Amino acid sequence: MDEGLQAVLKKHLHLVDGLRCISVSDRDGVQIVEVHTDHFPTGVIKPIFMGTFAIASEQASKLGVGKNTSIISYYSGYQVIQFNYLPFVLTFIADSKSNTGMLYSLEEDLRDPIGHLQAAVSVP
Amino acid sequence: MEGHLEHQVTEISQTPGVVGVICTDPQGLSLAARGTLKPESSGLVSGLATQAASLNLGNGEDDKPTIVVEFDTGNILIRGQQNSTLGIHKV
Amino acid sequence: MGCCFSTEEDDQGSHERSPLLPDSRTSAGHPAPTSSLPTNHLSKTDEESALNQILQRTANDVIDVTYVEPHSLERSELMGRTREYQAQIASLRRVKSSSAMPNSDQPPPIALSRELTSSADLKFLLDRSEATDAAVASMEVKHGEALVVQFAAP
Repeated sequence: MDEGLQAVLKKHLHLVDGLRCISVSDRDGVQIVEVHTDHFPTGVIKPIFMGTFAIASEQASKLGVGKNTSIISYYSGYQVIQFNYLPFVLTFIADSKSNTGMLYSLEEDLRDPIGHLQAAVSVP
Repeated sequence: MEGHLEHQVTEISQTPGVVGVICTDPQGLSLAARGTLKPESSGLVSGLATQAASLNLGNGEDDKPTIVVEFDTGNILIRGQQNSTLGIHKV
Repeated sequence: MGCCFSTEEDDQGSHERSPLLPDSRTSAGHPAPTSSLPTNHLSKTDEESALNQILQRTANDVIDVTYVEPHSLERSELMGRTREYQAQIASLRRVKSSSAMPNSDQPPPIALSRELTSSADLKFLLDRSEATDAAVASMEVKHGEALVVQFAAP
């Protein structure tokens, strides 16, 4: 099946209970594609929040246990999972009670679409 | 710490007919895995248990379902509990 | 090179521990005598660039948490980049997505007439899941080393 990237993400958004937002941004947090449900914490997708991941991931990669691939942040109401596709960052925002393991499986399904994106979009 | 759990899971995996075992936490993260069931399947195993449990309307949270996923190459039996979900791949 | 437990190989040819002089004896397996002084000194620019290299490598390897403050982009640059991305995304119209349905070549009557899971299997699962659940509930974090370590204390 062929469809737009946005539509692919939108379809995945409904596969995990409590998933509220899927976003792909660049290393500075500038948004490239994003889909979300009606209610989600808008503060998270601001560049100031998203941009922190690239730096945190970079620093975490220096701990001597290899390259950092993802960071999970649990908050009282939400969980934010960010995946290292640098210079791209994939972010999931979900309810704190959502199944984190399911979200990780979802990321595996999104590798191909993001691969297409990496080939087509150039980051300054 | 996790010695008791590791022991349990190893024992299950050594049972005749069992080719894979996985134990996950309520967030779907793998706690222990053996054989054909890889840590990466933890999310789907616990997700199935949670989704199936949500079918049980009104009978209280303590009534957990047992799920059997049938394949040509054997069955995966899944059972959710209070603090964990257990998946067993049996041929 | 990482900060600790680093196993990464040095890909650059020279660093602060590489010998400044090509020593045939070292390569032959004998340790170079410490008393041997370098006879031809490196030129000043070489030394400077070597120092810069060491400085750069150290800066790259240091885990600096105070640095975790993203430089905020100018609003105009942000808008410009967003627009640029949107244009590039628009050109990327179609993406292949896999079907969610599993492949099965079994006709429904055969698939449905399979033997039911035996009650022994179900009892085994129930017993074992209760046992593992108890094991999970009894898990607690124990520290194996001192929680507070004096670091570089005299």
